[in-house]
Amino acid sequence: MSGTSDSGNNTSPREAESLLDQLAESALDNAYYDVDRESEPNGIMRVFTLASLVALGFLLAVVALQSQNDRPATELERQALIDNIASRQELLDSRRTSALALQTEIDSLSSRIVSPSKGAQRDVLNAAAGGVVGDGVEIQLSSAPGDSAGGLISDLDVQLVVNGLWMSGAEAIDVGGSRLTSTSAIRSAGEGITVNFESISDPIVIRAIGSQGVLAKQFEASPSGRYLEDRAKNSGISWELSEADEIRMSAAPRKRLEVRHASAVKKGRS
Amino acid sequence: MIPIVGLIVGIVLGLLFQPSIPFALQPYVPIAIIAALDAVVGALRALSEGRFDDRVFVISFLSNVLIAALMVYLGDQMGVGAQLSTGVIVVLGIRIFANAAAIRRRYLHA
Repeated sequence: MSGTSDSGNNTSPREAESLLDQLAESALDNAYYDVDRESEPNGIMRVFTLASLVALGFLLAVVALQSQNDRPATELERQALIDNIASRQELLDSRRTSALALQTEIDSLSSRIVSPSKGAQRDVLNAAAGGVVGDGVEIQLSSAPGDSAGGLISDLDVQLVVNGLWMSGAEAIDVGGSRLTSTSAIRSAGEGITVNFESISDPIVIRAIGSQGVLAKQFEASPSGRYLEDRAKNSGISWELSEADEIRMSAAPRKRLEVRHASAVKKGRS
Repeated sequence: MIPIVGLIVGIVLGLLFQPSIPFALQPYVPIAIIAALDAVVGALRALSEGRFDDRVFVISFLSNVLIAALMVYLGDQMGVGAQLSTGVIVVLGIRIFANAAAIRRRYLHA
């Protein structure tokens, strides 16, 4: 029933192989089996036994106490960290709120600066820094069908049309939906045409805001109008000028509005 | 009966004096306790089998604690840290369970 015989004499190779079995087998110190049963209990040893047990109890109590005492400290530390995180979070939130408030303040202040000043508003329109709306004309240019020489609309054509429109009194122009500003370039890139470095596809629609009647009449009479007439006759391109109401144009691309090297000249009274 | 009284006396003494263990000794205490427990459970089994002997118990108790402490110290010095302690705990744990199982078999027949 006890399962353990004198394991010191048990040397079957199988048992030697299995470390864990061996361990369990010899769990009881062999010395207990070797003791002379007949010897009288030794008084001093009994005292030592007692002392060992006292020591064990003492150790157990001390360790239990220690870990109990240490726990509040670690708990305290943890709580402090949590509090710290929470307070930082609060700080962040309040900073965020104040940033938002300041942003609103900036917006309201800048709108107060911009909105009453007619001059500033006009500058924004002139610089194509803001969207505009107004009546005007629309010119549609289409390349000649087929592969005739010079039948493609070139950048020069578009440049001349734009020039003619400015000459005729246009106040805002966009080409293929790309608003022209003072730094806009119209050029050919391979087969196509780019405006503000955005490519424009055929047919090209050029819209201009201005007095409708004046624009149409002046343009047709201008060198640009006559040039287009020539191109239509000789190369087969087609163009069409029509009046359009309530043309809406967006601002020029932000990239075109950046000014990095030029700075304003301080105005003395002139 | 006397051993249990001894254990209780020890616990009471510990609670009474509440000494704090020096930091350097802290890793040794749990291992020492496990080693001592192994000796105690072994003694209980021997007792149940009518073979208990004070001398054997005292010697096994002291040598267990000392060797366990030595292993921890060595592990510390060799830089393997807790690994050696883990080995000690595994071996002692198996012995404790085996002895406890023997006692259980004897008294509960299970």
